[in-house]
Amino acid sequence: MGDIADIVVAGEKVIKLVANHAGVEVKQGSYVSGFPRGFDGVGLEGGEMKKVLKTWKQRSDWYEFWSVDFDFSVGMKWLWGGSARGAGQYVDKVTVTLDVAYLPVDLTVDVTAKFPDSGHDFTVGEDVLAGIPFTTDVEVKAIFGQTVAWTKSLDCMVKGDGSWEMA
Amino acid sequence: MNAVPEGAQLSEDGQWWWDGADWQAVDAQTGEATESGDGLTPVSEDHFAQMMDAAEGEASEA
Repeated sequence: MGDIADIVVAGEKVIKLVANHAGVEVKQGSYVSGFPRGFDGVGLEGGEMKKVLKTWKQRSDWYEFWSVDFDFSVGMKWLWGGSARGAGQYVDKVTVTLDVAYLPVDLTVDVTAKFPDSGHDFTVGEDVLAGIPFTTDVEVKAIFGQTVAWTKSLDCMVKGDGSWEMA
Repeated sequence: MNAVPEGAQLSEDGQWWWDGADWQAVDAQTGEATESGDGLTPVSEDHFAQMMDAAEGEASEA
């Protein structure tokens, strides 16, 4: 774990997405950034986008049992490698995504990401390597004869060198 | 599982009850109602959790 240094996480710290049979809706938030204190992102140089996905797709053995099909992916997307004032590797445009291939009627997916106020500094050598740890909660509700619910909390991390964690 | 609602209309053979829109199967062993037609049966929280856990894949770069 890196030192908690002056990596300021700016933006809306809670992002909420909801999906059902009709589509996906962003209920709250857009993205956050992880920059050094005093830097607002203007003049950020370089960087490229990356997206990581985690998919839940019904298996054929369970489908035979319940005849319920679903296929959706929860992801995180961010700009990595951007430098501030010509130095360091920071993160920007950090957000979570919810992509739906198929959801049956009476099944909903809620995704909530919560970001901290400060990021981490994983500096090796002289250049700062920023990272933002956050949690992403995935809640699925369905009506199968009765209302049932399932929740998974993912520990996530995005870094300025493009590395990541999602488990 | 839900019991057959009191007063619900039963089929002549007692194997089905009418919910106002469709015939629902009566469980042969418990006498309790189950979903019919599409083969769905009431699902417990534990079974639903097992299904979701089984459906989960590893995170990977898109």
